[in-house]
Amino acid sequence: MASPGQTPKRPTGGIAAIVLSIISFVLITLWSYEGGISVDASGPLHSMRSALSTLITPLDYASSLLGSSAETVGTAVGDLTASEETLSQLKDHNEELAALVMQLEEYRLENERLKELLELSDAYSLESTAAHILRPSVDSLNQAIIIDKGTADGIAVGMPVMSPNGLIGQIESVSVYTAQVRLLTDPNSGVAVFLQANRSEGVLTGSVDRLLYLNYIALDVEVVPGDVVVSSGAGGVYPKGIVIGEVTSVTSSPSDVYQTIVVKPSARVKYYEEIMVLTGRQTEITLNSGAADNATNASENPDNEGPDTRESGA
Amino acid sequence: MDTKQPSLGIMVASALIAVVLQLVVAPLITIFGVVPNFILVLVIINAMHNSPLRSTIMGFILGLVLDLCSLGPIGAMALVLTILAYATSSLNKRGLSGETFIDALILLAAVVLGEFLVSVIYAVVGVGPEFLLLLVQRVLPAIVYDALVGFIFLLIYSKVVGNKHSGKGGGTGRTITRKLTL
Repeated sequence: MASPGQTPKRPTGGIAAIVLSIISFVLITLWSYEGGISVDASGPLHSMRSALSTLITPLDYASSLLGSSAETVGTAVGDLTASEETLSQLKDHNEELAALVMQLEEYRLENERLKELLELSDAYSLESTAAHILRPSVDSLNQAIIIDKGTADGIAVGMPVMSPNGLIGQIESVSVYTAQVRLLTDPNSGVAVFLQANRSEGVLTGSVDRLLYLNYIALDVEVVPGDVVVSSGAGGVYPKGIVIGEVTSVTSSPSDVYQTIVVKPSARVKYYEEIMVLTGRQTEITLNSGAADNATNASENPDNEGPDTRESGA
Repeated sequence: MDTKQPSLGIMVASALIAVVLQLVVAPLITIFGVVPNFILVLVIINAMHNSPLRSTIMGFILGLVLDLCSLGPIGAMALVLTILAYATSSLNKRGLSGETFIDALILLAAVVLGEFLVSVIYAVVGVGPEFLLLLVQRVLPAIVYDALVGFIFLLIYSKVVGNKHSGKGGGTGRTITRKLTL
């Protein structure tokens, strides 16, 4: 407390706190004004984000290296424990061989995964670029991954991203050498889809619990667990006919307008592995296999008029 | 009242460590999708030992860095860390922090408030999912994780900075911290 005759001193930093808070408010407002999380968003703040992403690229690679090294060390520790028990005299030799085998196995698996991606790309007649996942998001509120391809490799905001098992998300932010992919399971993701079994259209959205929810499917549509969900191509972001997942549960009550349908994504995002960025825009699928056929048929069915199924945000 | 604080060099080093930990280590140690917020924790701990002016500026800059590195609203974490850093540092200035137990309580309160405020901003800006779901499935686990990480760093910070400034070994209690910051 100030003594008589003394003016109470304003706490140092008070003005700074007010000024910086106002600046933060302005930044949030400006970010929203630029388009927020929309793929069409652009402006100084989004450019600043891309610029910083370029600057921190070495840290992204460091994280990737640390993560993959931790995995390798974990495997090696397990292998070495077994070797000591059975082949103690050849321990050093075994270490070298084990490391070599692990490395070769890793190359073999990588080769297989890349082949799968290439086959998938050929099957769908899509132009694509293979990329590696560097690391996941740095915060809990966004489900995203960083990949090792950026504008230097022809990657642009809005491009869909696939794994060998199906869609995993969309490029939301891109720097020179890296890009951020918002996953389908993120609550701000949305993709226009239809059910393979009955061709009903809906919108698949992500959620905090990392599951996908299929919205806008009316109560009278028969949906059962196991039904395959396929992208419809409406909205022009994701290609048509790509399998996204399968229905795991269906619930509804008489007061509901739509059913609550939970979908398990078929694509699993494994860090430090390969994915594919579709650089060619919206190519028609020429596959003759089941899912694609149904997908194409559904899109050609004139009676199939679903809700507005434009893909959202990311 | 605290009049002495760690050097600017220690503060800058802490800031750099926070950024590196957040960008390199945090994504690798997620638990059920919850990422620890090293930047939030280290800003708060720094604010317990620094002047409000320094702490506020550090909070704003590191918050902005985190905003730019994520996909969320730019300015959200900057706003939250600016407010929290100033508030925590003001408490320290009034002599309310210093005891390890009290510091831990302040840290816990700051973490709860920080995670909650960020989720509120997400909800207000309209980029977050259903608010209650977000609270239960993301914010609460994040608070627990951040608090655990924070307690560890609180002890480390007290040891490292405490020894350097007091010239004596060990101890995290009021005496040493007082010597540090008074």
